[in-house]
Amino acid sequence: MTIRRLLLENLLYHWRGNLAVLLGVVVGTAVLTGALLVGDSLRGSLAELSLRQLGWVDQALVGGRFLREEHANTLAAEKRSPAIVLQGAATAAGGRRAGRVTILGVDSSFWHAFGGDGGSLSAWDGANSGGDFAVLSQTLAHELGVVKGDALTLHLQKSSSVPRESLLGRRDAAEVIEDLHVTVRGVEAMDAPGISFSLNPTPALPRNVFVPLHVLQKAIGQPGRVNVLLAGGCGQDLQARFTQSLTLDDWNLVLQTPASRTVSLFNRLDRQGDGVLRESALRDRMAQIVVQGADRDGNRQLTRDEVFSYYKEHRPYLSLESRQLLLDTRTMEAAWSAAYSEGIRVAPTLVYLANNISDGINSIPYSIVAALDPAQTPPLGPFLPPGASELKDDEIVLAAWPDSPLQAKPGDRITLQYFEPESHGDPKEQTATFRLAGYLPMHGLAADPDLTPEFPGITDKLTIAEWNPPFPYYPKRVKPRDERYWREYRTTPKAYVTLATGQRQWSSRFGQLTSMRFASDKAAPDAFAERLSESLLQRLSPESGGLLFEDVKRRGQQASAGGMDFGGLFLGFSFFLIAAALLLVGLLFRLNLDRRAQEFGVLFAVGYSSRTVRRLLFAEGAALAAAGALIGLGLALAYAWLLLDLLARWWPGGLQGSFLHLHATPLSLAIGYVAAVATSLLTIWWTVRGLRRVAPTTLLRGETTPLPRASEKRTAAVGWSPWIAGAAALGGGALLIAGAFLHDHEQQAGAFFGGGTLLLTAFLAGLWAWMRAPRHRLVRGHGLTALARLGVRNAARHPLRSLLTAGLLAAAAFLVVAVESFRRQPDANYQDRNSGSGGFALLAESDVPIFQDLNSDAGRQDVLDHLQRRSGAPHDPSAAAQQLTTARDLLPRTTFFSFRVRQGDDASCLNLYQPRNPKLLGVPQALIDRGGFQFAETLATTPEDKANPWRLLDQPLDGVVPVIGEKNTVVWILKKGLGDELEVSDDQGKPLRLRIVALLNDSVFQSELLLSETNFLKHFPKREGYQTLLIDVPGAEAATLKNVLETALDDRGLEVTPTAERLAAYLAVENTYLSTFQALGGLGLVLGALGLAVVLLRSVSERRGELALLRALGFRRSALGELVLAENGFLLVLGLVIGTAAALLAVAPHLLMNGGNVPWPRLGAMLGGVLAVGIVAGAAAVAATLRAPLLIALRRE
Amino acid sequence: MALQVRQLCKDYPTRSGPLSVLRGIDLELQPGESLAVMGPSGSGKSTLLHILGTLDTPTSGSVRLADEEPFTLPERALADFRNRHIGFVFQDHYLLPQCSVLENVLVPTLVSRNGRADHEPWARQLLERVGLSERLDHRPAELSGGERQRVAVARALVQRPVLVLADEPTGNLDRRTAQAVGQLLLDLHREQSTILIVVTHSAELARTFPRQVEMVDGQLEAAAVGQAS
Repeated sequence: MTIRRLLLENLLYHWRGNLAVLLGVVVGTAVLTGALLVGDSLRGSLAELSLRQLGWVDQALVGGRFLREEHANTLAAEKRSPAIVLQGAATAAGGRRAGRVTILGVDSSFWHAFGGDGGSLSAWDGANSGGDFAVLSQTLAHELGVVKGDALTLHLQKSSSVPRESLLGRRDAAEVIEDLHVTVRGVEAMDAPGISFSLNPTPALPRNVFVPLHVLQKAIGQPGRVNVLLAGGCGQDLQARFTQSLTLDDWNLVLQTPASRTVSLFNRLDRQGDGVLRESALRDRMAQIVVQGADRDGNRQLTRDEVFSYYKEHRPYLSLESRQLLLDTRTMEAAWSAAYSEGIRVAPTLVYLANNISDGINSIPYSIVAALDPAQTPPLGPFLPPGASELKDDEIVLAAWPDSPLQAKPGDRITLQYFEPESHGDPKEQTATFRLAGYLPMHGLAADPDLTPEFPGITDKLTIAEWNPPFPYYPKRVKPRDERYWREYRTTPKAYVTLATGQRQWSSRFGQLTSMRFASDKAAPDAFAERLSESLLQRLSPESGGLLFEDVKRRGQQASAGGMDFGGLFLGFSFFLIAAALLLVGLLFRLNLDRRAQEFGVLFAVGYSSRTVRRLLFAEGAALAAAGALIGLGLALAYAWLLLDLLARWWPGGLQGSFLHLHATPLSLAIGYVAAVATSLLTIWWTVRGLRRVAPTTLLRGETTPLPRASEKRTAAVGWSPWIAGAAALGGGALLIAGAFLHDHEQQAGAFFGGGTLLLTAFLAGLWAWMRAPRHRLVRGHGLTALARLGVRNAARHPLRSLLTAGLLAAAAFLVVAVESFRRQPDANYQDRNSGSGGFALLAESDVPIFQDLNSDAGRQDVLDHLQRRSGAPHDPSAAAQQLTTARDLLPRTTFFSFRVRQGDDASCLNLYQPRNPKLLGVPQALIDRGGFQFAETLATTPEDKANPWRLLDQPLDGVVPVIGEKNTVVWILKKGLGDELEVSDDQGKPLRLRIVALLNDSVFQSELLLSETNFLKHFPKREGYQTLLIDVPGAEAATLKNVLETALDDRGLEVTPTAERLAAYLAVENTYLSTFQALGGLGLVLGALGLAVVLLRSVSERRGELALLRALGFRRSALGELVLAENGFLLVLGLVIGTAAALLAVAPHLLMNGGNVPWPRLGAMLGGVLAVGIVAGAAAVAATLRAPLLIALRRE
Repeated sequence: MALQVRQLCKDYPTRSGPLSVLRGIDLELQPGESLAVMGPSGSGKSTLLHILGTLDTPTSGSVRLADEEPFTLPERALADFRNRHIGFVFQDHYLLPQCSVLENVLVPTLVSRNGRADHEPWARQLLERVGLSERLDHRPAELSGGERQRVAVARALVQRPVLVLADEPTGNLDRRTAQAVGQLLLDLHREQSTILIVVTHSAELARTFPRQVEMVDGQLEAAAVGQAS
């Protein structure tokens, strides 16, 4: 015989009681570990999904810049593929449309890399025969209602090398949108290789359309170029080798040399390809002054040698230009540095178009003005009037053009009119006045049309009258003398100002120079062109140009960690259930102790110390906990699976069924096991600890309730409980009333749960006081009432046991009622200016940026024009006409607030992935001035800022950009708080620090962070147009406007959503969690009912002698059943009533203030169900026990 | 190794003030001596026994056993003291139903600190002595009332205690069995030179003891039950 043996025999002998404890531990472990496994599963499923969506792609270059397709062939990777990835919209022939479509231009290498030879690949192999076709994902095809063979129109943004918001940028819808008509050649299931390809992992099913690469390249005007390079099985030197292979062309740069100018000219004009430019080709296409200078033999034809010689002699410099027209700051700095290191002189130049040059009497329309350093020495200058040595910033030099109508003399005022270099909507004209410094003779350097970069639509036109510029242009203003100038000098500037002056007027966020000219005193341009080019390339960092490969696979895996700690969240949700299971463990263990009291008394009597006995019991508990937890791990898998299933079912819009799978990591299982064993042991220790105060003699009598101490007074049994009840009730009430006046949701929740817990405590303390009271009302009378009274009195027989049982039920009922009452809908006042909608009825988002100012007449007209065109197709012309009339009436009464967008990760709770790079919105000044929305917290200190916290976005912070975010997003997803900073990359690839200056409350901006448009443009100059609109329209007309806008702008993929709907979508996520929580609360109630049934069984078993005696005294079996059931029903009803009452009191302020309502039918059904289950289980247990013969027990009595 | 009890008092708190159960009890017994304590229900017999057995503490007075004052000992040492020096026999045998007869006897040895290796042979010997050598592997449920009480007697002696306390050891037994168990207690007490104190209502059992006392008003008085025949 050993202690271990004794332990084993104890476990086996008391197997029934031990089994119950073990089952309690099993449930606790399952819930605890299951919650962790939910976290594992979400992480694992997201990681799996990310891997599936990326397929073979490990690294990708997605810089938003188009570069040569051939790069894909030289990548240091086993698998590689060039691609174009664009966002757009799609319209089926039947009229159904879909926005947020990802249009992928790929070649067969993309499909080959996925392996296999069927599906999409076969369509691509057949592509060689031609035809514009597309393969769609099943989801998108279903949404559009298309099948194989159907026609489909894809709306996508045309590529534009020139910034659209610059003066020469084209912003008209026809210039922005390309409609690509394709035939659906295949519809692939979502699990087909590659069909759900996505570089940004997303739990939503990607809406992918695949088209042949060359088709897309042609459609968007980027032949041979791609904006994405994909690589799989990458070598270590992938980036290094790619960087080495970059050319200036990939940077959209051109270094003009005499040789390249010659080549370019012949490529453009030598139609016969014989190396001779004939008069017919030259006429009006080349400045006569150049033709005359180059035509050395005077035969009115130019050979390559003649042109090359001309350029060598008259343009002995290099010129660095950008396809985007303007050189950005990064390129400018790199070029300066390269030139400096090579010992080369630099002449930065900015040319601009003046709408008018006037001397006050006469004027010249549409003239090129150059801003440069006029004092440069040859071959880069000078551009000064004869005799002048410098040009002041307020001076201007005019070309000495014989036909010029300007008669001004040096010192006279010259006025320039020009459009602002950046514009949203219609360009605005500005005026600048100069003093005439003099005239520059039009020969030599002063007759250089190449100072102006080429611009299609202007520099390639034969006459000025033929110009087709994107800005308002009036050809009638062009006089014959102007055309003569165009023929003679073409783009040669007609005026010159200093660079500083020019940049002040005409530089923009896109750049400050149109070219940089380089010259060396020691070498000819062609001799140092290569050196300069290499030196420049070395200085252009790939990251600043978005030419960096990103390890998308790793990023996906990291993002899979989830925006939210789902393990923690569900652990929180499951807390009550875990607590309930532990209470049950404690209760069951306590029952075991009660039953074995005499056994412990004997052990004390034979010399076991209290500690030894407790250790023995603890060891028993440990064995049960260890075994139970092990079994619980198995059940945890099922529990986690159930939770995932509930989550997937209840998630707004549903999560794709195949996406969420059960994942279990050894770490979570280990943590769950250890935590479950530890908490169970703690509970058991706490239960066993109570034995310390019980005298061995008491135990020998079979009792476990300690006798009152000698010093204790008569009321000691009741103890402090009445005081606790009173204080808790007062505290709870005060906290709940205070909570009603708090605006912060977390503080409200804290006040609610704190207040609710105190109320529960108050009720339970009251119950304790009643049960421990020295005297109770006399049980008298007869019949059922008397039996019920006696039953209720019996509940006080084991106060702790009854308290635990009632507490278990009360807490579960509390949570179920409270959670149900807290289901959220958008507030009734969601249309208020200071609500989450900001008072805006609609929110619109487009796939293709909108460049028009929709508040202007022109912008509205643009919408109406689109509407008219789009409405041409419907079968009901009268309806279309009606819609047009409505739109004409409605649009002028509508105000649009347009936001610029830097696309990024959705930071809202709808995105399960962890946002690495949150989406950013540029807030228009108009909204900042207007104010509105509800703020949870702000850093505002002045009364003005407090009244309108949007003003904080304009606050100058040292090197940090102020941003505003939704509180839920910032706190829960980004894990930040008010005043915290986070870092993103700006357009140059440089780190940009953002400081959170205010937190919105329940707003429509849960997916992004907001900064002022001014700061947005400063740090993200390349992001053009507006993709998010807040629309102020009377609520009653919102639906009509939504219809109008979605019809008119469907080619931009515009989706208009009522703000209430958007808020509801976010709240739906919260409600999903609440539903899951509710389900867990329901399980808690079941556990409570189970606990009650066990307690009941135990009570009946303990009192068999007593019951037998009652039978001997003439009680019928049914009377005994009623007696016991009364006790059971009392605790059951008491638990539910206490929990429900505490919950209703706790939610009362919320309901009164927010006008919510309690879903009584659902609650009634749920609580009634628990009551019924509890009573039925109790009745069954009583019946089973009372059927057993009671004579033996009676004999013992 | 004598038992010395001096001015032993025990009060219990009640709602109407302290209730004195023992009022200055003096008692001295040497090894080999035995005592039967009689008295009406509620007179404090069992309380005295529980205090002597260190299961309860006196309100005042002292108890000295085996040259030690057990109530000066901390809880763990007190348990060890009880384990080494005191053996209990209760009216209800309180055998562990999950253990066999032999195991029940060995239960006290599981926490023994004397390190003796002869526990089991001694337990077997005791069980043989009480006539249960054939029932070693039986469970309590398979024994009669007398047999269970004999196991309890063996369990009380397994640690070779100085003091054996028996609280109504024959209260649940029929007359014949009660006589046998009473005789067994006395025989073993003599064989092992223990101090034996028995609390009983049974005049028949008390008469078998050389010395009898009666608990009256919380004090011990010589009882007139006649000498054992």
